Amino acid sequence: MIEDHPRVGRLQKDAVTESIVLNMGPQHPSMHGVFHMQLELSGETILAARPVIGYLHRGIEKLAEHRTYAQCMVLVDRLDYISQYCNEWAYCRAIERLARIEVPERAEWLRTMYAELVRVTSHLMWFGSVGLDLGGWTPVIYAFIPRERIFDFFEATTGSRLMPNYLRFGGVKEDVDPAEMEALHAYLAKDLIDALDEFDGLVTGNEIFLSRQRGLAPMTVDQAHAWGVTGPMLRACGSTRDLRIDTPYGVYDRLDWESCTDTRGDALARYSVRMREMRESAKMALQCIERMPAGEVRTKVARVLRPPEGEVYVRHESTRGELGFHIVSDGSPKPYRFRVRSPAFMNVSSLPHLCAGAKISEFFAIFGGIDNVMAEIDR
Amino acid sequence: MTVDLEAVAAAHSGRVDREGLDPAIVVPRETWRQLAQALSEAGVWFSDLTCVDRGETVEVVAQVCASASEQITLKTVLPNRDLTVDSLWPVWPGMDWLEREAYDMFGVSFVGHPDLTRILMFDGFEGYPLRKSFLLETEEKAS
Amino acid sequence: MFGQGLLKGLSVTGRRMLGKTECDMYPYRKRVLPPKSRIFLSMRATPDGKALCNACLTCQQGCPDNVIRIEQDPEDRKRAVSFRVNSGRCTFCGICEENCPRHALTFTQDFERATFDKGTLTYALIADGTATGACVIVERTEPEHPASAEGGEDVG
Ligand code: SF4
Ligand code: SF4
Repeated sequence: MIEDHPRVGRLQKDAVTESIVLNMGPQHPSMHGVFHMQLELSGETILAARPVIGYLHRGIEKLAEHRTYAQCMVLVDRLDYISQYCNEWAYCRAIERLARIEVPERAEWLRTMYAELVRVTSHLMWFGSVGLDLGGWTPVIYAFIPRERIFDFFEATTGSRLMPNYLRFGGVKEDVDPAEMEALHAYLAKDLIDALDEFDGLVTGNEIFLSRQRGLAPMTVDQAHAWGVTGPMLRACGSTRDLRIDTPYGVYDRLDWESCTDTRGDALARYSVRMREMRESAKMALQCIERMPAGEVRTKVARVLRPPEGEVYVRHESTRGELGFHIVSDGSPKPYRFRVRSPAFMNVSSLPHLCAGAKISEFFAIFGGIDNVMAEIDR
Repeated sequence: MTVDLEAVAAAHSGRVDREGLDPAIVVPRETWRQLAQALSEAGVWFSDLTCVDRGETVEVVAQVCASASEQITLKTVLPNRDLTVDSLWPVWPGMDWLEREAYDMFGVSFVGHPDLTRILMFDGFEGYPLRKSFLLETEEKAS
Repeated sequence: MFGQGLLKGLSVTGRRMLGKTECDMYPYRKRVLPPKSRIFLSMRATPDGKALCNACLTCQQGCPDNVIRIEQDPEDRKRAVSFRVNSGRCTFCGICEENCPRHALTFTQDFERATFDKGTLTYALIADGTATGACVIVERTEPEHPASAEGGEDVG
């Protein structure tokens, strides 16, 4: 008899159930970056969760106070290294608003094109990692094929695949070679759409995927507003807030596109919003290439910029949500205060609410839908 | 929807500062939470909260949006010797991490915050990195 | 029907399996990077070892990471005695190249410089007043373009 065994017998007699705390990360194979999660578990159910962040804190806000405005662009690239052009653009917009710098027409079109291209690459990266989170290796490898192709364009035109340092106050660094633009146009019009169709065939209709995502971690618009959630996560709850429409910048108001929303608010809705956003972004980039007027790409700005005293806050729709730059200038060549309102930081702070009550295997499915970048959260 | 800034500011013994690029409501810290409460009831949502070290004082700056495109800055000024202010967490639960970050980086205590601990720096770190009195290693060597 | 989506996914992977390879077979086939790629910093110099740099220090002062160390000739301040690049600190941002008024700086597309010793990452472009082998040889002595038109004051 099993009860006769001394150890098992004793355990059974005074066994009590109690919750345990599980530390996931910061070095966990399925974590995105160095993110640490303390989960309080009862069996497999998550009772409470506490994210621990800061492992990638590089003090960018402090470092920026010791650099000139142009040198800060290098740091800005390294905030969210998956959507670099969005960061640079938001920062440029803040400085341009503060120092009242005009941007030439063609530069606005170029910026819009790059921002939308980078949105595609960022969402491709997210698509791959969602596959990984749910235990499938194929999507990540497939997603990197179109991503690499777009990166090749970035490298050929801006000089770097990941850290372009391409936008300048009052424009962009240099104009793009028309031949490159032509090749990109051909790629976006056909091959990228084929690849996205392929991904839809691979994952979107997959019954196992659907049953794991449907109804998972639901969130309402009111909750999202209260927790400060923005971007595709917010639009997946039915909100139509999209800063590209609400506070028009660039040439978004001249393009023919629509903001993608979904009303279900669950993990599947977040997935579907991002998948559709990729197509919209590709469409916008195509329109930019077609309609871009010729002209100057850069206004002349002093190499060492001294914006007038004052402060500015600019909100920008980055790939993950509302990216804010709060710059305080004291009239010197270096920013007095350099603050980044990072979208992923706010989105991840909703994680404890989202995963309370879920099963531990669902945790990564929820976490993947947030699309975080630790470099931007920790700064 | 727009908010009548002057009326809101007057009701909380503050003033409206229109010199900057965005209008700002500056209130004393006693009415900081009431101001947020009143705005939140009017349908305003928050975007950001941070601090600016001005030497003798520390400004707590919150960015809120009255409508999709209308942006307001809320400010309160704290003297260096007493950096405490009411937490906005009861008004907007998403302020949780923003206030923890402001505490971590500037040492401002938010009264009523449920879990005011360091967030980006590790527990046991000494000093508040974004204060101007916190020097970088290179500056320490130079001075 | 349940399983339709799974079959469709399988057909996608099946098609890919028979399609062409997407990999860069790196050590066997080396990729040629586009000419704008910023990899390692180099300098233009004429065949007789005269670098185009006139030691104006713009690049040293504008570099965010103190990569560049220039020593001016005490007698002729328009001549650099030594120009050292600590590429281990370089972020490949391109600010130095963009701001050089004589278009002396350029980037090479040679990316194979992995090393076990950090010290070897520092290299000289000008040593003892002459351009070293790390420079790119050009025929001309004067800049292609007139001095950069951005204007404005110097970095400092
Ligand atoms: S900016 Fe150009 S000319 Fe001036 S020191 Fe540097 S390399 Fe020489
Ligand atoms: S590329 Fe950037 S970091 Fe490297 S030497 Fe030039 S300015 Fe400095």
